[in-house]
Amino acid sequence: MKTHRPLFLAFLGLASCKSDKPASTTAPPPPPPPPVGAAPGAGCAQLPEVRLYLFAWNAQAGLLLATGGKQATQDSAMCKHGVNLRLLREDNTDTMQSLMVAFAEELKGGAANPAKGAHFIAVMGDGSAAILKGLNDKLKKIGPDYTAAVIGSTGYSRGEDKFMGPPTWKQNPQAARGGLVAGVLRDGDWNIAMKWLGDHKIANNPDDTSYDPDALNWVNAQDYIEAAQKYVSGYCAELKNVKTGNREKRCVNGVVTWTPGDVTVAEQKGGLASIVSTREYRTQMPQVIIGNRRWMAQNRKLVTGLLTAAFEGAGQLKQSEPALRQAAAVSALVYGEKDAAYWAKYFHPQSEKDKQGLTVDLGGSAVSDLGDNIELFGLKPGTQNLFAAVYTVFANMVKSQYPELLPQYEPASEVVDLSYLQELASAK
Amino acid sequence: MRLTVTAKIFIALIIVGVVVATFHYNPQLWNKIAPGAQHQGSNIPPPANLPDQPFPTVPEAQAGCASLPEVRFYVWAWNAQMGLMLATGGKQATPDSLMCRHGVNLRLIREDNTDNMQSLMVAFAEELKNGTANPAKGAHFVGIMGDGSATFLKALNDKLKKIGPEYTAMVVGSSGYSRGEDKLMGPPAWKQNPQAARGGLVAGVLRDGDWNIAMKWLGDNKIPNNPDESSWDPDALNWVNASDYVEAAQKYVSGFCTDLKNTKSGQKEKHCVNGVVTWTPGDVTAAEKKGGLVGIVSTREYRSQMPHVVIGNKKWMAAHRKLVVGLLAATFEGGDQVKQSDDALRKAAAISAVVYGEKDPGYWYKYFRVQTEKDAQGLTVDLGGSAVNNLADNLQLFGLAPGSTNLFAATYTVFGNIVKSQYPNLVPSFYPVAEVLDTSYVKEVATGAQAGGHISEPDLAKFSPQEKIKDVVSRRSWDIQFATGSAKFTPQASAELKQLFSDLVVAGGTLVEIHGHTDNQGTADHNQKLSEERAFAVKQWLESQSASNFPEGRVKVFAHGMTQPVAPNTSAEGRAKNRRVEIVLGTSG
Repeated sequence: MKTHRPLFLAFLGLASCKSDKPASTTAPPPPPPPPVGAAPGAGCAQLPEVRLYLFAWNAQAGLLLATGGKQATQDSAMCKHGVNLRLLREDNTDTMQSLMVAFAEELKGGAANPAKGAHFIAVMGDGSAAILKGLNDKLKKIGPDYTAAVIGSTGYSRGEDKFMGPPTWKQNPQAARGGLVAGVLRDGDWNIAMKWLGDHKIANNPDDTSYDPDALNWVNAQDYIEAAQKYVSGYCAELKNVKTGNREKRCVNGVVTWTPGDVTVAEQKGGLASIVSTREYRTQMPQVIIGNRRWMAQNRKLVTGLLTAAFEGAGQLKQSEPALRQAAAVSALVYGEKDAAYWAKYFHPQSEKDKQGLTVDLGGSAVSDLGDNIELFGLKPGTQNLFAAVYTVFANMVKSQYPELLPQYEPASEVVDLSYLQELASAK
Repeated sequence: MRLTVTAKIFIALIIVGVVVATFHYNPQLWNKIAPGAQHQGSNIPPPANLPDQPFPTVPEAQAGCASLPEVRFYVWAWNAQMGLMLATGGKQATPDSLMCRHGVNLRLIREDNTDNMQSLMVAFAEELKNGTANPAKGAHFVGIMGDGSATFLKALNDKLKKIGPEYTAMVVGSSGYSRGEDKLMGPPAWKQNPQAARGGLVAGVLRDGDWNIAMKWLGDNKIPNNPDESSWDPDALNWVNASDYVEAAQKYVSGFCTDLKNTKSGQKEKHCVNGVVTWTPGDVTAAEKKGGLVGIVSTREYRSQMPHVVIGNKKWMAAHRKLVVGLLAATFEGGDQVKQSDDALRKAAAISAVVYGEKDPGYWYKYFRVQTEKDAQGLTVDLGGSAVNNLADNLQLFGLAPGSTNLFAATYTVFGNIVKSQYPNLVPSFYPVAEVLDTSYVKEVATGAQAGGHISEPDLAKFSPQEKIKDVVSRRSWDIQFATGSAKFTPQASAELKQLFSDLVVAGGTLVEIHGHTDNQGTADHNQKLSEERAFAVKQWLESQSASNFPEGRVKVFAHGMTQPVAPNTSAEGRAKNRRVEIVLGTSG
């Protein structure tokens, strides 16, 4: 349930505003969550404040459980590990980049622990190449040691991000030729559709002003809710047919979106099946934590403390259903959207009937502990760095479709700092 | 000439209007004046080969609580046991496993043969009778299919009763369900018209759970079964016995033919296998190696037919309540984790590969869920499909939750009666369900979970009011008696309604259409209204019996009045045939 925005805008540094319109759900009322204060007191405010800006996304449930509220609460794993963490929701990746730049500037100006900006941001691993390219181009101007690096992950999207289309596309992928899909171009969900097209050797038409009857075509949406709404409202557009040169009216018959966009489609109109999702593409979309290299090097203990606490939270959540409910209650508080029952329900994939009686899978996230991070970053000898693979695959994907927007990107090895994870792994 | 201010404004407005109109009707001009990003043409995206996530490594032997008494559980290789696998962690309960946490040093041992399972239960009971508190031989528990348990327990408990009535075997819980993997496969023509199956020859293990699927489907479609495998009846479905489910599939793949005596002509004739009852990986074998068969009906539609059931020794369990409750609690928690986390399912799949000693983790993981694949002839077939049970599912299965019904009792009785009807010499009777079921352990787990604040959600079939039947599974008339001219059931209707209820709860994955028909006595309007009221009366009665099994959207009513007679209305007999309720089961595709 993260909120992305077009990566090319992030790359170009153009701000966009996103409207989050919560979709209604008809879930039965779950048991009340454990009480979480509206503004729980900081548990270790005497320690230096560390700010992490993040999307509203269930893959972070372990991190939220470890923090206990908007700021690390008393008895939280964060405070236990000496990290006075503040969690701030930020949906806009341009703003995230600005916060990282402001932080680096203050650090360069001599502040040991800048009071402005972001110590950390968290985004999707498959979209991180474009974000880091835009961000590090700016940070390098401040100084080469002020660049941003990926240091770990708190979880995965495991089903909630998906490509939805008519059931016929599921039965016969080639039937998707000539389809018109609403979605945020160059976004993680768009990535899902791109991979699926490549797997089935179906052409993609990257030009959203034209229509190719032999390719999958696109209607750009500002955000994932708008993408869903474009299908629900029966949105049609006049597009130039690349074969005939004539303008034709074409209507949206597919969507790339994520929860609750998928819930909106299912409940308000229905008729679309889940063609493919991060349930099948299970390694595609890890959440990644990105921090300032220089500050992190000077504050190693805080960084390892943050990761340790987040991993402990993930471990608890994996083992205990009450821990999930607690994390969901913290999620509702930190994200300021939906209630605890919503976040708890859609943490797990839900198989539901849509408005037309079709069975659709909705939601689905996973949290990552230290072991999962060791696996993700290939820290065991002889294992593959899954993050590097995903980072590269989708950077190449954006580059292939929009070479003018992303002509190049930094190699994965230059945007990760695995020393913090290695320190934790060796101490295990 | 000097223009007035008003004139200047007027001219300016005209110019602005012309410009706006020009761009409005020629939007492409914007691109010419301020070109946007250049787009390349359509192209196939590059291959995005995502890395495979390795399955967790499961040690062959790593006992986590070997100091505790050993409890042995003999199981088939069956994905419905995923929760049990995860809870145990390996062949023997591993460190930090749910089993060890619940104080159960469980050993999982694969055993495919039910005769051997019975012998193991008997050996255990004998050692127990001889005074050993925790026998070192035999089986503490076995896990089999609930729909086959009437036959199994009849044979087993007949032996155990000789040791002593308190040594009999009891069903105490369930770790999951078959939900698609067990199926009747046949030519597509059988799917389009079940009556086309008359004269078919099916390979399968007689009196087995998969055979049960075919038996129910035959009954639901009123097609006779020929239980004599040495003969062939052109009006019935006929059988070739197989020693196991893999051989059943192989008999189809190899084109097995046999000489059978035609029951009508008395002549010996050569007939070839054109259908199979089997389960995964038998269905995969039939699809990949030959193809040409589709799933006619499976445990996906008959979703409550085939629960896995845990069977233990009554006396030992009573003396070790804590171990039994611990085993069930750990299994249910494992089921919850598998339901909620794909990572947990992957770990359970890795454990399954070790415990079963067959296939790799990827195989068990893949076929846990139903897979739609193309067979060797290009036909689309559904393969695999299981479900795991948590505590809430057990409460539903055994009728312990509000609005539920005892599904186990229904499937036990329905299929016990089927075997009895087809093979009265082999199974002349079976034990009433009350004598083989002990729900006290599940209840104790529920009490403990409630005290611990543990929330467990059942996996109930979901239906939508908009759903309509596209794929018909069965169509059958029921002789439900109503009082003359009214929608009130007669006392004689009770037995028929109960039978209908059992049949429908077993087929819990299907939509139900109730079609009401009348004879031609009275006016058309009156008959139309009466048929509707009667069909509604059946719907309401079913829903009143179990809200969980007849949720909103599952049952739909159709009234036909006297418009669709099946016999001439000229005789009392014909009119009686026309006064009918027809039940259609199916799925929305």
